[in-house]
Amino acid sequence: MSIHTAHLSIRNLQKTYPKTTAPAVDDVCLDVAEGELVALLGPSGCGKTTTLRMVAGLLDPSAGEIVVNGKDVVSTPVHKRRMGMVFQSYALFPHMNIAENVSFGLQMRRLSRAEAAKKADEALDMVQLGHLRDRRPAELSGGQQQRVALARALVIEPTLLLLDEPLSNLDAKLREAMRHEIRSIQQRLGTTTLFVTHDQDEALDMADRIAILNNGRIEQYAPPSEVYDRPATRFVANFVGKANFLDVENVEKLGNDTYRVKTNEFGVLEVRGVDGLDPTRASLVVRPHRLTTTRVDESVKSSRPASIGEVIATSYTGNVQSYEVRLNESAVLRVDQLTDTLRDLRMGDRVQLTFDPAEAYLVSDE
Amino acid sequence: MTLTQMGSRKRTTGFRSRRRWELFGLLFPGLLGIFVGFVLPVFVMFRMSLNTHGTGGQLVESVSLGAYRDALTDPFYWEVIGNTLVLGLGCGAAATVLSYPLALFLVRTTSKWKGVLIALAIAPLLTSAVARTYGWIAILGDQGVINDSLMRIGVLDAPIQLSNNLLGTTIALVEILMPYAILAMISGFGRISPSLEEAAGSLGASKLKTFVRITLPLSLPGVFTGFLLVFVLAISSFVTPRLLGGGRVFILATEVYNEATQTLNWPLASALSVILLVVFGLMIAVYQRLIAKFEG
Repeated sequence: MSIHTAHLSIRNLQKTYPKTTAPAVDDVCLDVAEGELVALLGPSGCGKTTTLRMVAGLLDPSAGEIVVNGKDVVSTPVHKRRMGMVFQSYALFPHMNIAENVSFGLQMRRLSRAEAAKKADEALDMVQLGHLRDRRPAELSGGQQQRVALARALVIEPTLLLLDEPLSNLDAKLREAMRHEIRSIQQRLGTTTLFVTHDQDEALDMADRIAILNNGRIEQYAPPSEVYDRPATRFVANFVGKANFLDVENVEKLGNDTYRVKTNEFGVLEVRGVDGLDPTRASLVVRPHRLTTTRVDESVKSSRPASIGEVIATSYTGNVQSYEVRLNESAVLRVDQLTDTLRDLRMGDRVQLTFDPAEAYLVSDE
Repeated sequence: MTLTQMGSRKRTTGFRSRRRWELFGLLFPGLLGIFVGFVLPVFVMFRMSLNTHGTGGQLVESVSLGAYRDALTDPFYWEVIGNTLVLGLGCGAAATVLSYPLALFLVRTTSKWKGVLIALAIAPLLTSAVARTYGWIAILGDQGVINDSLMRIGVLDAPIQLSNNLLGTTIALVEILMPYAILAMISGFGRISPSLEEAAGSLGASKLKTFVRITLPLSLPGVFTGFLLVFVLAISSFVTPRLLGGGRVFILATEVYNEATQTLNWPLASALSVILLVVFGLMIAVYQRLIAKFEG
């Protein structure tokens, strides 16, 4: 399969469904570079699938532009957009066998039967399903159907690959294997890809960049590590990974992205944060694995900010041991640490929590 | 296999056989009802068809194929069988074609009136076929709405024959039976996911190609069911052919009635009924073949 890819630019895209007042997609702007895989991440109802369906041409936008390779495609009907779409339900044609399913798009493009069959076989080999070409979709497992759907979408050499929650119907083990398979095929072919998911792990694992949507708006659009380490808003920090939020007061701007803040629990700190946030509506994010615990009886004077509390809950997930530590009436922090029998804490233990302020991040509360 | 496994297996077999008896017990009243109300009458009818009709009109107990010979050697009855098939196939085809878009719309609409619309589509079933047939007589008759209007505006000089024949009977039966076709297709179409059509579109199929390659083939089982239902109801219909046919439409159902109540030739009436049953049976066999082909 040849590389046939595109640059996608979504400009001020908006969709308001009939008989609703709040737009489902509200002024979304998104630039996707050639060969990039971008995840649209958000809770259900955030507008991610609506956005994808508008790009695919399955839904008409209320306003805005969808520019593919410099051309606005909003008025182009779906069957002329040449976008490969993988549906959540896979949407394989039940009355056709696997080979017919994969070659359907090629036949629609008026390739000769022989040529279509040859390309379909190549695509099936790519997803390692060549031996099942004569089966019906119903005879395949969920993971195999998923791969057929992927082959069917890719065989037409789409300008964009659009994936709508493609892994949500698979079990956990298979989901992880498919993540890597989809990602490696996508990288090998260099196909520009939009990927809708509500699963933050999937987005962090697969995407070059993540657009986090909430109530139809993009809250942040950045590479995974930036989304995780420097979330733009409280919503992003909460949605991607686990987060502790500390109330702050007396926020004082020191530089572009550095602030001095006062917290009840850890005193005055110098931290980094979102540029230009409203000082009266900000919270400090501390990721659970950035916190370290020491038993109070063995605690040493730390140069780092420290606070003492009581372990009120523990949970064990194999490699990670989590604690909830109550510092005062309003602050209960979650601590994740790699399992270590020597430092095993129990309910009721008094512990000192510390963290490196350089690893905390001040975010906007909206 | 270890001892405990054998023990547990034995237990489950015992459990299963007890369960089988329980299931049979639960099914028994229904089976009895079917036997008494359906199997037995059909058997009695079949037995009756083997009797003979005496010259004086009396019933002669015998085992003979005389009634069948009478039915199948008389060209009149071949015409009756032909008429019956024409009526059944014609009604089936017309009702299916007319109901298809309605059923597809009713399945797909997201309107909040969907439930009301479906109820409206099948509401004609609330009126008896007799009343609806008289309605059609008023429309299709020589002085009916159609002929009267066309003659008044000068399109026709003399009325065209729309009643007292097979055409009028077919028109009325199609309307009367359409609700069944719509219901059968609605249940048949439910399993066609709209995402299949979206997938076809994204793969480059136009709306027309999507319909021909995806929607239509997947809807065929529902279409066959609707067709079969209308066919079966049409060839067994009696009221409409009798009233709208004006005694000039001869089909198996009306002839069975004539033989049974007027000529009092019960063996022949029974033989014609058995022939009608055979037509049903053949149609159901064809239907099962088609369903197996398109659903497999």
